[in-house]
Amino acid sequence: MKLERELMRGAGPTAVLKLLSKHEMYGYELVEALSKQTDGVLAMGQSTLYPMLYNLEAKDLIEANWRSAANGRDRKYYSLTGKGKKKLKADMEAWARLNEAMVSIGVLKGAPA
Amino acid sequence: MSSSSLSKAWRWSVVRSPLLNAWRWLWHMGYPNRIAFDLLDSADLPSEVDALIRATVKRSKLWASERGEIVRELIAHTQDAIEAGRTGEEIAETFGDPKRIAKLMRRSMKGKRPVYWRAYRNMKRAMGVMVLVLIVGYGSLAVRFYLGKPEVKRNYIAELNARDDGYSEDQKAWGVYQEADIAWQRHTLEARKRQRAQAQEREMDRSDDVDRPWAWYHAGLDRLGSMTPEHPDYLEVVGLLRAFEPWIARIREAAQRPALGVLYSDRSEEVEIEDGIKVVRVLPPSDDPAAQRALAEVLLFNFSVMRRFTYMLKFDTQLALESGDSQRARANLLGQLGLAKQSKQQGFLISDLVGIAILDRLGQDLNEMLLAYPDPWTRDQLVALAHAISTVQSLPALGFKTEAMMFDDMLQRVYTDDGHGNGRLTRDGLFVLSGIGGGSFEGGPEFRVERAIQSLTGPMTLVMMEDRKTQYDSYHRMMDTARRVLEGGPESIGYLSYLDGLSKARVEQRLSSNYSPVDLFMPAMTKAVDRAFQSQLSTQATMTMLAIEIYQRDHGQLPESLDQLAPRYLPSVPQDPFNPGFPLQYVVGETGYIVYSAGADGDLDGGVQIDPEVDRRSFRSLSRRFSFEIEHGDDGMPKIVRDAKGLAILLEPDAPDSDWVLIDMRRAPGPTGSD
Repeated sequence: MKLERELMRGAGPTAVLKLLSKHEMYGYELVEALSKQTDGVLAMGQSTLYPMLYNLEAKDLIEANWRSAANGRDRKYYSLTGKGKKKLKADMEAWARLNEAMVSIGVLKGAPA
Repeated sequence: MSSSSLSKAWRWSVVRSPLLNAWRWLWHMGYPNRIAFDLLDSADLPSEVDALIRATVKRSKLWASERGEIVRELIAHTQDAIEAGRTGEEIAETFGDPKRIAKLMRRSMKGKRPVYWRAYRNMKRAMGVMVLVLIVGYGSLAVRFYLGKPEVKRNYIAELNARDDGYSEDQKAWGVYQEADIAWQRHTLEARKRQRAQAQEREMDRSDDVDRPWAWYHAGLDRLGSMTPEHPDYLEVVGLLRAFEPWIARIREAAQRPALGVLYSDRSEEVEIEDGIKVVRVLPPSDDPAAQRALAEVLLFNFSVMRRFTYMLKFDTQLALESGDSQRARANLLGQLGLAKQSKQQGFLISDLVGIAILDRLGQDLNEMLLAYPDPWTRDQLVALAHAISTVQSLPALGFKTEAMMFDDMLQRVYTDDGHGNGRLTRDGLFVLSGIGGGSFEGGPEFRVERAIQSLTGPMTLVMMEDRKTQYDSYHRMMDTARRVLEGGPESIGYLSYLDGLSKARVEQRLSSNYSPVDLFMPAMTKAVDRAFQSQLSTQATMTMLAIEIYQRDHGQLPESLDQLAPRYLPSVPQDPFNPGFPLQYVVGETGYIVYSAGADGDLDGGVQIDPEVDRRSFRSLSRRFSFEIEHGDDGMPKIVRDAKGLAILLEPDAPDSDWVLIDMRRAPGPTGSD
């Protein structure tokens, strides 16, 4: 199942920031990770991922570096900046509050007490 | 700014600066996809993916370096996918629509561009908005400018012509003047032919032809005033005038008629009614004022004819006195006064100035004639002359009403009319203003260019030029001031200078074109009022001289002082505007008497005058006499500064130490008559 565009627009950047918080990643790696780790819910193609990455880069939330990989090919690796970390933290708190709100009105099921 | 930010800014400035990109654009011969496509060529991607990436890059409209960056990343992505076991078809399937991707890429990449690029973009946008605002503003002004139409309601030309409606034809002088003008042209033409024939007989050379014998009448009759018996053409001219005597008699008679009766019109033509004889034929003006030209364009050709006749009468007066015919001399002087009166009755500023000039000239001539021919003048003749002069003098000094009609007529032809005295400038009106202001020859190529420029810039004048009511108020306020000063006397001329200066400053602080209709129509009022005061002074002196002469005939001797003349011979002793609070000075000597003013330096020097040129200059300095010594009273109004005696402060204490002799009746040259 794929998310609607509006939902993806809100969730996508936070998901990418979260993935990059663990370690730096290149574009295809991100696509794969998003697809597999979210069971396809947050799967996105190149048309969505790369503009999103460029936007995050423009906002100084991530930074990019071209580097040669082990297979000898050049890849552009993205990593989180200090500003990106703060943003991720704020986004995660916002999502937690949203989650609680959704639980409270019964959209989501709450964790058993 | 962090070090990463700094390095990023440096990278941008080096790699992606607009200047470098401009250079790259030139380097790649305007082919911004070259970097990207070279990368694709060497990457050897599956054809379907390659095509999609190329389509995306082409549509991105980004800088060449940015396209290269995107392609490099998409190549890496595709190669990773292939390495992960995806086929070209599968990759192409998940690629998406190139058009949409290009749009998203463009938007996000632009977000990465440096601050100065965004500043440049914002500036361009702001300029675009500004241009748009200007276009919209100009458009709305243009609509108002082009759609506005003046409404010409009042027929000022008809109103002018209606002034003489109450007079019968034999009470109007203009018809006689026209006939006399034609007769004089015919008369001189015959003389010219005769003289040419004589010159050919005498085989005179060309240079003689130019100087004489007929050059004197090329300039009309203007030279008659300075013609003396020593002049080589004197006898010829005397003969011509004697032969013209019946017509001169008719001119004298017409000059006594109550109305001039000239037909003012915007349409006239110069026609040659006989070989060599040209007249201005006035065509009746249209009944529809909208079809007429502006009143300011009405030709006032009649005044030049009338001025020429005054020269003729003056010369004939001289001839009459030489032959002892004082009756004819007096009739000629009254004729000149009649011409002055008829001219002043027209109410134009120019006609008033013509009237003033005739009157002033007559005063000087009378002085010379009484000096040269004292005997023929009887008491009654002198009294009649004095009465005639005072009649002309009692007319309004300057006709503001007709002058203002020209301005009001212009306003109705230039502005719209909102029914409440206001309106806005129109396209037709701008052309009218340009025509009055002296535009190019109508119909010529320059005229068409001028009109095109005016049409284009015209809407903007709506913003710059003041509206109808403001123009009307400004003009009439200045005219009212001039009228008040004229009524207030010479001392208040400083007030006019002061106000004139204020008005000028006010106009100059803004664009002078704001008030261009007022600028165009406002006469040099300070000079005109000054001229009127000068004329009043010299006419007062002439009246004083006549009073002295009459007194002398009554008592057999000259009066001892001017006090003896009032009230029987003069209503009051004439005052000296150069010496406020004191009368004109009168000094009797052995050879006669003089009447003089203190002159520009404002103090009395016993009637000593340095030279006539200085006198003439002191005449002109009357307007500066009280010009700038003005201060504001408690009520905020400007007031003339006075000294301890209550006299206006003299402005030019350093002016030449000279008096100004207005009347000189000393019969033989000798020391200046001070006693």
